[in-house]
Amino acid sequence: MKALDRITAAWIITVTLVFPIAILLGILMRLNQANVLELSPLTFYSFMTAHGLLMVGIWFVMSMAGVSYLLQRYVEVRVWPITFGYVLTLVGVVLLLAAIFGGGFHTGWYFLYPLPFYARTEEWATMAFLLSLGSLGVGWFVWSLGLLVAILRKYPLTRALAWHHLVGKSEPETPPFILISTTTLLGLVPAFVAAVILLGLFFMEYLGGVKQDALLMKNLTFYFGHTLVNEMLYFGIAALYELFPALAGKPPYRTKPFVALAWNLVLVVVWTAYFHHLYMDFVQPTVLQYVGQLASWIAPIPAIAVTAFSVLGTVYRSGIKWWLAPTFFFTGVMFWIIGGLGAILDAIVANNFVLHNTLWVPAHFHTYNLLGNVLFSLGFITWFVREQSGDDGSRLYRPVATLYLLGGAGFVAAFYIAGALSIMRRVDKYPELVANGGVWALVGALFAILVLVAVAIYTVHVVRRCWRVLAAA
Amino acid sequence: MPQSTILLLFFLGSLVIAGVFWWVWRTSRQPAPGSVEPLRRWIFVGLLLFVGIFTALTLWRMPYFLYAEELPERVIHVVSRQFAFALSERPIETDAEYAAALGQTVELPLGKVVEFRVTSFDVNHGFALYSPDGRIVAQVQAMPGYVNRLRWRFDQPGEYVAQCLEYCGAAHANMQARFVVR
Amino acid sequence: MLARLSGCLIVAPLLWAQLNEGHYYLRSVPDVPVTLITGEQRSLHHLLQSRAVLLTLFSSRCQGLCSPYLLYLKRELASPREFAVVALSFDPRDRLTDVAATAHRFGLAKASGWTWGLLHPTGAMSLLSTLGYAVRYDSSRADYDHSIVLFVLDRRGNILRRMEGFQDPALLKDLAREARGEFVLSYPLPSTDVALRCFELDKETGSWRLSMGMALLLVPPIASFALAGLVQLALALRRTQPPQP
Ligand code: HEM
Ligand SMILES: [Cu+2]
Ligand SMILES: [Cu+2]
Repeated sequence: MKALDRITAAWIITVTLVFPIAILLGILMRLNQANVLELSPLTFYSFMTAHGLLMVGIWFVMSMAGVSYLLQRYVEVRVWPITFGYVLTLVGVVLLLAAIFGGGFHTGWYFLYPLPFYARTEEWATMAFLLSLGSLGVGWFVWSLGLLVAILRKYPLTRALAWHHLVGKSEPETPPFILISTTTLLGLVPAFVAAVILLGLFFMEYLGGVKQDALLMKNLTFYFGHTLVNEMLYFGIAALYELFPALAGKPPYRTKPFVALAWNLVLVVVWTAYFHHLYMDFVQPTVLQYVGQLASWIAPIPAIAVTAFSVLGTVYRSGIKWWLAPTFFFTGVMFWIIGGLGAILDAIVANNFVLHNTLWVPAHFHTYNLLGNVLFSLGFITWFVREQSGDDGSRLYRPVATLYLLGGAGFVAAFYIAGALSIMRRVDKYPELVANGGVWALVGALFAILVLVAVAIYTVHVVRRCWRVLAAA
Repeated sequence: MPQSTILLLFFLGSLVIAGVFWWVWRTSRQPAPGSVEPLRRWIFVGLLLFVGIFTALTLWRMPYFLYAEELPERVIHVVSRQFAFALSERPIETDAEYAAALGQTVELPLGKVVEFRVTSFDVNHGFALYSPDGRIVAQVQAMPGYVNRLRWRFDQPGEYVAQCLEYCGAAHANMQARFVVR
Repeated sequence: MLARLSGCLIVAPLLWAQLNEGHYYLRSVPDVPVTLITGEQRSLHHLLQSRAVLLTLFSSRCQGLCSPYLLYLKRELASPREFAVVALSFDPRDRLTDVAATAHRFGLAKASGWTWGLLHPTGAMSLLSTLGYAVRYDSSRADYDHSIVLFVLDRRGNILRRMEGFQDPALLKDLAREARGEFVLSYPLPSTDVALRCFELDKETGSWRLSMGMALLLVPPIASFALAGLVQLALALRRTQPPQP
C-alpha cells in the first residue's frame, strides 16, 4: 500500500534526523559533567529534559510505526490514524521545544509534581509543556486505538490474546506478531489513562490553584512514564518476531503455549512493575513494594526468555547471512537481556536502597533503549529501506555496526561503573563528594561520539532512500 | 549487597550472556543440522531456579523495617527545601525553625540506631547518606506532605554528607548537608 | 459527652499543635519514687520495665477536667494488654486513700492494665518540668489549674509521644499502637488542602488507611479492559447488522 509506505517513510526520516541531534545533547551533557564544557545549570537541565523527551518520543513513535507497517500483512490497516498521530506528534514536539528552549522548561522528562510549579520557568512554558503532552497523548492514543480496532476486526479479543493456545489448542493460529501487538496496545491504554488523570490534576492546580497529593501524582507519573517506555520495547519485539526468522531463512515463529503465557503475563504484570520507581518512598503502602519487586522480575523474564530462546534457536547453525538488519536484531536481544539483568538487580529493594537515582538507572535503561529497543527499530528501518530501494547498506555494515555497538557498550559501561561508585544521576556538575564522576563522564562521552558517528552515517543512508519513497508520490 | 558485589554480579552475568550469543553467532557461519530445542527445558528450569533463589534471598531483606524492633538513640528531623537540608533534634515546622536549623551542626553517635524523620517543604527531594569514603549507605525520599522515617546505625566514624538524590531544580547538584558521626 | 464534643471540635487545629510533641521526643524522665494504692513503694522506671506505659497525671480534688478526662481514658482504652496505663496524682494534698477512692469511683482500682499511685512531693517537680506539665495553684478556687496530657513512655523511661487534651479517639488508638512498640514507617502530615488524598485517618483504629487517591490508581487498568471490551462489542454489533442495500 503506497500510502502506508509513505507515512512510514515520513516517520523514518523524522526519527533518524532527530536521533543524532538528541545524541548530541547527550554528549554535551556528558562533556559538561566531565568539565570539558561549562554549560549553565539551566542549559544543562534543558538539554536533559529535551534529550529524555525527544528520545522517548521518537523511539516510541518509531516502534509504533514499525508495527503499523507490518500489521498490513495480517489485517487491513487504515492510514488516517497514523497520519493523525504524525501531525499531532509534530505539534507536540514544536510546543515541547518551544517550552524547553524558549521558555526554559527544565524539570526533567518526568516533570515530577510539584517541580513544574517551583522551577524557574516562564509561566507560559509550563502551559505549553502540558499542552504538548496533551497533543502527543491524543495523537498516540488515536493511533493505537486505530491499530487495536484493525486487529480486533479480524481477530476477536480472546483469539488475539491467544487464549486458546494457553489451553493447548493450536488452531486457529494466532501469529506471535498479532499476540504481542495486541498485548502491547492493550498494555498501553493504562499509560494513556494515567496521563489523562495526571494532566487533569496538573491543570486543576495550574488553573484552579488546588493542591495535589504528591504521592498520588508520583504514582501516576510513573504509571504513565514507565509503562510507556516498557511497552515501546515490546513493539520492537513484535517487529523482531515478524522479521527475524525470514531474515535467517527460517519458517515464521509459531505461538506455543508458553509464548502465549509469557505475553499474557506481560500484559497485566507490566502495570504493577512501575512501583519500583517508588521503592524509596517509604510512605507508599509496603505491600505495593513487595508487589513491585515481584512484578519487576516477572514482567521481563518470561518475555526475555522466550524471545532469546527463539532468536538463539534461529541463528544456531543456520548459515544466516549477516547484514545490518539481522545484526541489529540479534545484538539488540543480547543487550536487552544484559540491560534486563541490570534492571532486575536494581529492582531488588535491598539493592535499590544504595542504587536508586545513581547512574545505575540511566545505565540500565540506556542499555535496553540505545542497545535494545532502538536496535529493533533500526532493524526494521534497515529492512524497510531494502524493501523499498533494494539497497541493504552492505557498504555501511562493518563501520556502522562496529562503531555503534562498541561505542554503545562503552558508553553504558561508564554509567554502570559510575552508578556502582554511588555517582548520582541528573546533576550538571559532580560535587566533590564523588570525585571521579568527571572521569567516567569523559569516558562515556568519548564512546558516545563513536555512536554519533555511526548514526550520522546511517542517517544519511536512510534519509536519502526514504526521501525517494516520499517523493515518488 | 554492597555496590561492588552488584557490579561484579552484573559484569559476570553480562559476560555469560555475551559468551552465549557469541558462541551461537559462531555456529551460524557453518550451516549444519541441529537444534537447541532439547535445551529448552533446562533453560526454563534454570531460570525458575534463578528467580526463585534470588527472590527468596532478597525479598525479606527489605530496608523498610530496619531496626524497627529497637528504639532509636536519637531522632533527627530533616526538612528539605530548594536547595538545602535543615537537620535538627527539634521538629521543624515553620520557616523560622527551618532557617534556624540550617546552620546547626549535628553530631550523631557511632554504633547506635538513629532515626531520621524526613519531609519536604516544597518539591520532592532525595535524602541519601554518603559515608566518609563517598559511598551511599542509605537513602529515603523526602516528599511534601509526608514524613518518612529512616533508621540507620553508623558503623564508621567521620564526616557524612546528606546529598539530594531526587532532581529538584537548577541547584540540585549542590543540595547537601553535613554531619559528623563519632 | 464533653469528650466527644471537644474531640470533634478541636481535633483539626490540634493535630497541628500535636506536632509540637516532637520537642519532648526521647527526653528521659527522672526516676521518681511512687506509692501505689496497693501500698507498694516503686520507682517510676520500675513501673516501665515490663511494658510500655501510657502515663497521665491527675488530682483527686480536682473540680475541673480530671474526672471527664479519666472517664474518657477509661472508655477509649478499656483494659489494655500490650501496655499499661499509669495514673499518678501530682497533688501534694492527696493521701493514698484519696487516690484509692478515685480509682474505686471509676471502677478501675482492680482493672487489669491500670496502675494508680501517688507522686512524692520531692520528686514531683522535676518530673512535671521534664514532661512539660503545667501546674498552677489558684488560691481563689483552692484548686489547681493544670494541663491534661497523656504520655507514651518507653521502657527506658523516654517520652515517645505526648498528647494534649481531649482528642479524637482515633489519635488515642494511635498512641496505643506506639506504646505497643509498633513501628510506623511513614505518616502523612494532616493538612487538608489536597484534592484527592491517598490516606485518610481511620477513626476506628487510629491508623491511616488508604483512600480515594489510591483508589484512583485502579482506574487505568480497568479502563484498559473496558476499552478492549467496548471495541470488541462495537465490532461484533456491526458484524451482525444486515448489509445495507
Ligand atoms: C549515544 C546515545 C545517548 C547518549 C550519549 C545519551 C546521554 C544521556 C545522558 C548524559 C543523560 C543524563 C544522565 C544523567 O542523569 O546524568 C541521559 C539521560 C536520559 N536518556 Fe540518554 N543518551 C543516549 C541515548 C538515549 C536513548 C536511545 C534513549 C531512549 C530511547 C535515551 C533516553 C534518556 C532518558 C529518558 C534520560 C533521562 C532524562 C531525565 O533524567 O530526565 N537516551 N542520556
Ligand atoms: Cu533537593
Ligand atoms: Cu535535588
